[in-house]
Order: sequence, then C-alpha cells, then structure tokens
Amino acid sequence: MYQLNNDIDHINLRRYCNRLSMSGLGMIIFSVWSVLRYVVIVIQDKQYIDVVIGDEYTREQKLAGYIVFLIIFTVTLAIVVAIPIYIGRAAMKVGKGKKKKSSIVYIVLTVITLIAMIVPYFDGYSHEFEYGLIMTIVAIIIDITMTFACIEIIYCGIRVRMLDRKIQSGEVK
Amino acid sequence: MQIDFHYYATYSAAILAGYSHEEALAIGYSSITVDFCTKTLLTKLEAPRIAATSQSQMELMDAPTDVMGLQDITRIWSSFHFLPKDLYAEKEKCSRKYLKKYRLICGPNGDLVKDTVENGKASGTLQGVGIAMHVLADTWAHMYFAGTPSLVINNTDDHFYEILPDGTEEHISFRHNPLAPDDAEKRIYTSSIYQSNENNIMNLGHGRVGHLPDYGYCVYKYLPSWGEYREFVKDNPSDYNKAYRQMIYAMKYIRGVNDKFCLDTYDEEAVKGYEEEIDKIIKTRRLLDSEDWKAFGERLSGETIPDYDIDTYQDEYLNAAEKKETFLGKFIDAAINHKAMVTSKIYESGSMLAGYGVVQDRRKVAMEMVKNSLKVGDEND
Amino acid sequence: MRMTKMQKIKNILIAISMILMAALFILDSDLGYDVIVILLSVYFIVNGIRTLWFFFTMAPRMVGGRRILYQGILILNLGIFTMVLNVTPTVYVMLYLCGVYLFTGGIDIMNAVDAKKMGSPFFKRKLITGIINVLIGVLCVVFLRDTEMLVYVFAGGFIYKAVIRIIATYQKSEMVYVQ
Repeated sequence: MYQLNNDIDHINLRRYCNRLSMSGLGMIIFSVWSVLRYVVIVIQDKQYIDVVIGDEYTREQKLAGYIVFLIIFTVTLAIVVAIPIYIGRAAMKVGKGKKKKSSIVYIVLTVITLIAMIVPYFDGYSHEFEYGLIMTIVAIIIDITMTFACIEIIYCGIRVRMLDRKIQSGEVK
Repeated sequence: MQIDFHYYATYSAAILAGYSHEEALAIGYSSITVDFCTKTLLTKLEAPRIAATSQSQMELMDAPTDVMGLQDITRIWSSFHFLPKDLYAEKEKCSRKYLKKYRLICGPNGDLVKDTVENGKASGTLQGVGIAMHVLADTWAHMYFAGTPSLVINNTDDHFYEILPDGTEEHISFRHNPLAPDDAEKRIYTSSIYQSNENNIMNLGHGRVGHLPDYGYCVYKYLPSWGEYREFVKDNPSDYNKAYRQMIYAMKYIRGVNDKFCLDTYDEEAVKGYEEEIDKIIKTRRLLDSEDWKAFGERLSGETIPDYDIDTYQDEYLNAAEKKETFLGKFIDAAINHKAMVTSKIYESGSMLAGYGVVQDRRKVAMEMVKNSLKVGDEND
Repeated sequence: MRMTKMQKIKNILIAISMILMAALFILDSDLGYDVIVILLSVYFIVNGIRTLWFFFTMAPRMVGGRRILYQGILILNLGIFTMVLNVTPTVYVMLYLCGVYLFTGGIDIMNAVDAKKMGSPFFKRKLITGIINVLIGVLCVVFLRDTEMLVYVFAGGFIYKAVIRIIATYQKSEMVYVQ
C-alpha cells in the first residue's frame, strides 16, 4: 500500500550514509580535540613558550613574543585542523543527503590525510615521548581513531557512490 | 493516545458495545485515569503507590535509574502504555541483554492483549474494563516502542517523513522545546533530547518522537533504532480505526455478547453507518479531537458527557470507611491486578526488566507475609 | 523504595567512606586536589570503557550506533588526558561540579513544585535539597579559580550526599495498604 524502500540496496545505502555521517562527525570532533590538547598544554606550560622565545629579552619583549607565538600557533593549528573539518563536514553532508553522493573530493583528501598520518609511524618517529608515557598513549589513541574514521569515510563514501549509481540506474535487487 | 481517544472515543465505543451511559462514563473515566494515576496522586490519597499506572514528567526526571528504579519504571509503562507484543520474539546475532529489551516492543494483537481483556472481564468491574481498553488502544498507537528506557530500542533519527494522501512525502522535524506546541501544518513536533545513556528517561517509550504516535491523522515512515535501517510505516488513521473496532469487540466479549475474544478481530457491524464520521474525526489534521469525539458520543447516547476531572472521586475515596468499594478503590484494585499479570508474564519469559512477577494467588500470599512481618517489626524484604 | 539488610549495610559503608574521604580532603587540600583529579580521571576512563562495551554488546547494528563508538573513545581519551595532573586547571573541575549541582538542584525544585501542585505533603524535603544543590553550584561559580575552595566544595558535597544516603537508608516505607 505504501511505497517502502526496503530492498537490500536501499537498506545498505541508508546504513552507509549513516556511518559516513557519523564518521564525519567523529573526524571533526577528534581533530578539534587533538588541537585543544595542544592548546591546553601550551597555556599550562609556559616553560614551553619560554624555550621557544628565549631568555635574553626584557619583560615587555617577552610579552610581545608570547603574543606573536600564540598568533602563529593558532594560525598553524587552524590550518592543520581545517582539512579534517572540511572532510568531516563533506562526509556529513553526503551522509545526510545535502551534497551529491557522487562527490569525490572529500574521499581523495581523506586518502591523503590517512597517508600523512600513517607514514610518520613507519618513519622511525618516536611520538611525543618528551611529554611522558600518558600523553603518548593519548596521542596514539587519537591517531588510531582518526585512522579508523578515515578508513570508514573512504569505504562508506565509495559504497555510497556505488549504491547510489546502482539505484539511479534502476538495477535494484 | 490522548484524552480524546481514551475518554471520549472509549465512551462512544462502550455505548456501541451496549453499555449504558453511566457504565460507559465509568469505563471512559477509568480509561483516561490510567494516564493520571501517578505515585504523587496516590500519596495524596494515601493509597497504595504500587497501583501507579503512570508517572508525571517530574516523577520521571527524578526517578532513580538503578536496577530497582528501572524495574519500577518498566512495570508501569510496559503494563499500561506499551504492552509487549511478543515476549518470546527471536532476533539473530544479538546479546541476551538486547534481546530482553527487544521482546518488550509494543504491538497490537499480541498474547498479552488477550490476557488483558480476560483480566478486564475477570475483574467484574467497569474500572477493570476501562483499564483494559486503555491498554488495548495504546498497543495500536504505541507500536514499535518499548515501555522501558532504552536507547537501542526507542531511538530514531532524522529519516522521518509524513506520507500525504496523494502519496508525496514531507520531512518531519523534531525540536526540544517543551514550551512550544506541536505544529501540525509545518510538521514540527517536540520530542525529548537525545541522551546517549541507554537507561536515560529521555529514551523511554515514544519520547524521542514526542506525541506523534498520539495524533490520529498522521501517516509517517521512519527508521526505528532496532529496525536495522528498514523503513517502517505507522498508519495512524488505519490503526486508530482498528483500535476503535477492536475495543467494541472486546467490550462485547466482556459483557457476554460474544463467547470468546479472538485476536485480529474487529467489530465492523457495530460501527455500520458511522464509519465515515469516525474516519473523518480521526483523519482531521488536529492535535486533539476531543470536541468531535464528545459530540459523537453524546449523539449516540443522547446524554451529556462531563469534562474529565481528576478530582471527581477523590473525596469519596478519602472519606470512605470501605475504600475497596469506592470508584477509585476499584480502579486501584484493577490496576494492581493488571500490573501483577503483566509483570508475571514478563518475569516468566525469563526477563528481570520488570522485576519479580507474582501471580494472583502468590501475590495474596506475599501480601500476607509482608503484613505479618510488619506486625512483628521486621522490615526486611 | 524499601531496602534489604544487605543494601542498608552497603549504603552505610559507602556513606562512612565518603565522610572519611571528605575529612581527608579538608585536612590536606593539596592532596585533596590531586585525589579529586584522579577520581575524575578514573570516572571518565571507566565511563569510556563502559560506553565502548555498550556499543559492542548492544548497539553495533543500531541506527546511528557509530556515534556511541566515537563517544566512548572520546571519553576514554579525556579520562587518560585528565590523569596528566599538571594540565587540569582548577576552573575545568569547578565548572564540571557547578554543572552537576545546578542541574540536580533544578530538577529537585521542579519536582517539589510538581508535588505541591498535586497537594502532596512531601514536597518540602525535595525543595530544601534542591535549594542546597543550587547554592553549592553557585558557590562553584563564585570561587572558580580557588583550588582550596574547590576541595571544600567537593568535600562538602561528599558529606551532604553521605548524609542523604544515611537518611534514605533509615526512612520508613510510605506504602499504605487498602484495608
């Protein structure tokens, strides 16, 4: 009597759209949280800034130095976090049907981000041990989560594209 | 469902089932009182709080969500508003904990509906009939939701569309502003806030979709949390029509007109000549249909239906020496009876979500034991 | 709700532990602050693990269930991060306490108003509890950056909750049987 789209393709499309949307949200939250961590550390640990600025300046010069440091720091973090936020927002829009399911830019960017996250681990990079074991654990958990979110976005994004194409062409199971 | 169906529509159904005006009033009054008989009211009446058939917003907000608190909530809501359809339902690849909650999903024409009607008949009181009719009607309105706080069962998401008579679909949105009324024209309804805690009160029953299941005009499709991304249609006009006819059929059985009560059976005979009018009332795009149901009921009986007043029988109860013989005394008795029946059934199915179930005879024994222990001074459960 | 003997004993033991901990916090506020932060951290870690466990046992196929997975990971991460004691400013802990007390107090007051409207005589206790919770919440805001006050507020809250627990344990049942 009522038209329900409960064939396997429509069900899977809804499932992957939902997962895509959630993964996009996860990507945004974890990238912002990643940045917040660094901000809190820098604000709490003035010694970090003192090391960067150096000891040989007057009080006023140091103050100016702090401000310049914070501006550069903020801008750098903003640039670093902008890409995951763009990816996350695009994934959420595709998942919620507000953007074309055939969109591919965010998938490509996700692949690049994923490679950029994984490569340092194979490069012999010892991750943040200067802040102790706990901070290292925190950072690794974040990285694993972001990696998982990236893989989810890539996989779900591709599946959504394929299923949407299949449904549009009328080859529904 | 709301006062329009539980009071006025139930009254008119009782008239069509052959009850007199006074009897139909008692049935209708008892039916709607199920929505108002809270622990706060019972405390005021100095009546047994175990007879609670509902919980007010504030009681819910304040209710503990430890094991015993959740059992208390589940006992009330599963017994009176979200009667489980199949306590032995199966679902693949899920944990036992999940399966127990899944089995509490409400739906019409389950075995418990039969037990409820039988219980209503066995009570021998109009109050028992009224409670049974409330529960029966709610199985239609509240299907697909469970009377226990559960995110994994009662949650929904943004995929929510009203299906209009011409077949087109319009998106329904929800907001979390309890002060703003629902807007049927713009399809904006108030619902509870998303809470990720499984046992949070916001995840009780159909809170996540607000009052939408209680509006007779609405046909909508959505993705229930447990549905694994399958779309489900809730055809309220059709369901309300069936609920009405099933109530008449059940009440005729209780009166003794029919020999037995069968599930999935509806009395079309009794509504002959009234189908269009009933359908029109249900399908009118309006949040409350009390006026129309009241006019319909008054035309059927030729009598005036008084407005519902929760205070009507309170003085009688408070001042009576023999409280069991008063209107509210009978209501309380019937409520305790029904709750015990449903809780026992849930317990017998292997679920502790509603706590320990005690069947009628054992309940009497248990009450005796408690009374005796209170006399001795030992308060140990 | 009526309690068994075991539940009563458990309640009393918990109440006594809470009072002893509160006394410890007040006697040594520096140690008290460290303990509070560790408690918060453990709370978040346990919550994170519980959320993840919930996802894997109850919500893997739930519509929108992925959100719970990410939530669990975030809370777990927050808990581990909180353990790094020298990066948890007093203000965050105070804001958290403030939120908890204001919310609980607000609910209690609304419940008391509702009970009074229904004519129930038992609304006064709820109202007093609600007002006290709100006042503690306001104190948290007033002394936002004061580490010592944070410890006193936390300890005060512990003592208060312990007293409520003891009262609830020995409260008689309100059930009345129809004769």
